[in-house]
Amino acid sequence: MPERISVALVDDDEAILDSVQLLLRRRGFAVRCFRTAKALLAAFDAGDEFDCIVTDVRMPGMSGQALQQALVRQSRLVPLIMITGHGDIDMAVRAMKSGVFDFVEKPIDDRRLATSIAAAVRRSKDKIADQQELASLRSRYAGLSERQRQVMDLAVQGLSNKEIAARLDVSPRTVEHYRESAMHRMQADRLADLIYMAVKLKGERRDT
Amino acid sequence: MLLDWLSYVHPFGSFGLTPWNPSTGLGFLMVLLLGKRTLPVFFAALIISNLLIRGMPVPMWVALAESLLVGTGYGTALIALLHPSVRFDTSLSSVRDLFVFLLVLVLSSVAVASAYVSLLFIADLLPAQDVPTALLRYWVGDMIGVTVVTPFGLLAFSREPLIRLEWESVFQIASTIALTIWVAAVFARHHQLQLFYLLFLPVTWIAVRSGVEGVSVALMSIQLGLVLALVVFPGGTIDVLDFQARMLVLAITGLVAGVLVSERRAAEARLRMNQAALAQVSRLGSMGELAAAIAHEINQPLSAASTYTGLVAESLEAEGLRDPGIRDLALKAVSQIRRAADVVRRLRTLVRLGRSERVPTSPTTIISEAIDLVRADLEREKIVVKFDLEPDLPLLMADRLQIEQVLLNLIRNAAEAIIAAEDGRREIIIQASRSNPGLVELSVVDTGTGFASSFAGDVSFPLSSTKPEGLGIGLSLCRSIAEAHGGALTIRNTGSGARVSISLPVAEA
Repeated sequence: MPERISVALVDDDEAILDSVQLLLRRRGFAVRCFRTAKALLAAFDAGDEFDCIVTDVRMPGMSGQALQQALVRQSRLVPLIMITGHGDIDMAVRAMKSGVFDFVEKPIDDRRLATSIAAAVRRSKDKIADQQELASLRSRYAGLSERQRQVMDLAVQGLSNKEIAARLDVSPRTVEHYRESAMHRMQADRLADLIYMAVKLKGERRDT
Repeated sequence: MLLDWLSYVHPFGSFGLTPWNPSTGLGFLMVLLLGKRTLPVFFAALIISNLLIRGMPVPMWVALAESLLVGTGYGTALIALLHPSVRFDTSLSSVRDLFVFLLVLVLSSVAVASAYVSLLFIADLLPAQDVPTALLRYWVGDMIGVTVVTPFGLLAFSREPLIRLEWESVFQIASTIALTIWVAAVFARHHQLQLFYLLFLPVTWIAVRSGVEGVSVALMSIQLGLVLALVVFPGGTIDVLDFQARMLVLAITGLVAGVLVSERRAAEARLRMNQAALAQVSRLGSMGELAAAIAHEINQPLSAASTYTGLVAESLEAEGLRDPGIRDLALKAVSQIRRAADVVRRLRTLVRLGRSERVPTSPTTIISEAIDLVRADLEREKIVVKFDLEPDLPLLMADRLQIEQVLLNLIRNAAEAIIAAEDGRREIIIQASRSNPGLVELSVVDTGTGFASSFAGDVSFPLSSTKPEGLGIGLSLCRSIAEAHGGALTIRNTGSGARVSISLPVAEA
């Protein structure tokens, strides 16, 4: 069995905290309870990590939304699920827009909460894997020499070696050489791989 | 209309002179009420009345030219008055309308009177030494005819009813007529012109009590009383012109006073209506807020109970109990708990804030209307209100009444805090500024006691209050309204008091 999914549960109401905690443990999650959002942030600061956060919306001190904003500010990518008795459409829409993963109404439907947590964790793992891939791509791309980068950029636009040679005013042989070394450094077996990588890098550049 | 006019003119035609020209007033009334297209009728009526009623010994061409002059003069005036750019409101509901009306009347009647008298002079019907008297007489006659008849008619058609038939108004009118007849009678015999000023008493009284509507009725009564007196005491020594000149002053004074009173009353009525609407919003809002608070408090234990009971059912199943009926009982309990939760939820949606009508609204309008409602209270407590409004604020996407309600709440809270602080500056500052892109922040800053430190920044919980008699609904309602608008409410202590702000989204252009 892989490592258990760890959930941070935040609610100011003792009974809710206790019952949901029991529920999640029975579903196989590792759960840690927090009475306030500030306590959770303190745990993060202390170096603790969680796969998912389940939080109430209305709490004294810091609300669920404020917690979400604080996490975004600290660029912590933990998915967050809100539970609330005040589920109204407006709030749900705003919460989802601000990056909340899901919204579960009280009384809690146990199956719904469990599937939501699993989905959130899967999504965030995908996201993390994606970002790791991107990071490695970026470092490989950054490792290319000036010439290698120029040749790669032109090659993925569909230019032949001859055309590239004319553009860069070097011999086709030299182009051939740079092209091979660039593909090697980027760990691309075929041109198609290289194009895929270029698209990914470009999309990432546009995002930021 | 024409018949009305003729029947009106006829009885007074026998005077030969023109103590007042109700015909001109009726003509004005007709055109103002029915529009420019009735101007030809005005012309026709002028000619007919000239020919039929007066039967003056003048040549035909003079009579025609006279009608033409009078008709053109007043016609031009009326067209000018009805021009859209003048924005003349025929219900005479503001002082501006009355002044515009009087100005046009004075100018046009001076022009018409001059033209008319010149015509008579040219036609050799008037000796030179009589020209000034004739001019004055004609002018006063027309002026008085219009100032008495036209406002009366305009108001009679635009107000429903013109005056209420209460003992006071009936008594006012009756005593005015009686006084007029008495004054006119005494005047006819003894020439004591100063007695006329007695008439200012009932007119002023009526203006204050019944506004411009009452005044118009009173002026009409005085005119009728005067005519009655002239018929009953045909002394002949009576100087009608003198009487009418004074009457003109009385009429204008009375109308201006009346319009001022009416205008003020209308403003008060608007304020009262606004207050009533706000009270309604407040009542509904407080009920909704209370229901939401109770729903939240009940929903919490229900939710926990539902989860616990669900776990019981699961545990029973896991232990492989021989009797599956026990597990079913636990599941039934879960469904009953959910049913209770549904009831609570429905209760809450039932008394929600209600559908709010969010339209682009000026923040300064909201602020000034809210301040209007509490100004008197603040002045009584000697609390000064200052404004710090950023220029050129964009329109807000807001339900005006709800946001006014929020501001009212915040201002009242601020005032209470200042009163509780007892000493120090008594000052409330209303601020408005663009806080974030797309948001405008309205703040109420006071010099009061500030919030208890345990309370500051936290209004998430209804049913908690810092005021001994408070329910803890007010601020919580304000927050709900702000959040329903897509904004937020924040509370800060400033050191010398408190500052409560709501942010609201800007209406997209």
